[in-house]
Amino acid sequence: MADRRTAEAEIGDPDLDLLRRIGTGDGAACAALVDRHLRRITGLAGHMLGNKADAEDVAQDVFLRVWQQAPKWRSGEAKFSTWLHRVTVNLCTDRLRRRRETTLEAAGDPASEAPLPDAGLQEAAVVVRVQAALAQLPERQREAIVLCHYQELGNIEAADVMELSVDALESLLARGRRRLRQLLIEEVPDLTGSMP
Amino acid sequence: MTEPMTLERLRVLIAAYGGNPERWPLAERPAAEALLARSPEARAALADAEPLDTLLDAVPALSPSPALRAAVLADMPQLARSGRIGWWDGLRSLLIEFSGLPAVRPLLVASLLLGLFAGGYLGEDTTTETSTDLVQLAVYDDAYTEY
Repeated sequence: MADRRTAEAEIGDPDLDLLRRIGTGDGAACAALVDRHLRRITGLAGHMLGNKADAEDVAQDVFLRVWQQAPKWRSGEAKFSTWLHRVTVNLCTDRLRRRRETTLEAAGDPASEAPLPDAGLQEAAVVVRVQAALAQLPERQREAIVLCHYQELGNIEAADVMELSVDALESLLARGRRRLRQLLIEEVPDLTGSMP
Repeated sequence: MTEPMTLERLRVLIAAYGGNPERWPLAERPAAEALLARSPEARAALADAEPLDTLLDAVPALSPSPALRAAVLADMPQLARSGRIGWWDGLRSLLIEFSGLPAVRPLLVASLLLGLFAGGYLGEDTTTETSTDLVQLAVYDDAYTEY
């Protein structure tokens, strides 16, 4: 897989300057870092947890860790965004495990904002169905799909976030997509017809 | 020149990453797209992945609420509290915070200096009794007996 380690991994870390400034207590740098990453981190947590309140709790926890870590950040060990994704995934995983321990019922509210009734009940039903299918995946398969499909990370960065090889990532992705296909297409053949 | 991709490898890519070439590994895209251009079987494999991609794309990403952004930014002052900005900056913040009246500021500084002086200088050597001290105590204290 070494031949696939291309420019994706060679890109420098665009957050280093902000991190250095945060280390000196620069509030503007803190705000800039939040504006750069909060949306993606909240999105990641939303796709992992399927619940807005939990996703926002996790995003806030992630940034608490950012404030602790930023002044100590050392370049060259990991890209900051990779670390940020890893922390988010780990916090989501902890929360999902606790949720499983406390209740056997499905997660609360639908993950995403939007599809309101006037946007089409069928479309909203599809969203709920897809979220439910994602929630049924084994946790590592769900992580892989969320990182590659929704976060659109390159395969090397997604593998780094999950601390596994690219081959192992591809295996998880393929198994996850196969299971989703069963749940969403083979068991509910009309579902794709509900899409606009 | 990249090596030609096999249909088998393209199927593995599609099975893992779906049918959108934007999600495929960067280094393999040219070869994969070349294969798609010349192979109907490759195009069929791509079309087969499309329904699942469409369903996954139906789930929008959550956007952070303004309240979340405000809460995250409100956590920032913890930098100073945890000492990561340095003890002097933390001390200076405390002085600024509690010295709203100009008259209070010199008092705070004076009490700080007095505290440092008393703790660091006056306290020196007052807790350790040397053997000479004990002998003098013994001389002046009639009740002293050696055990």
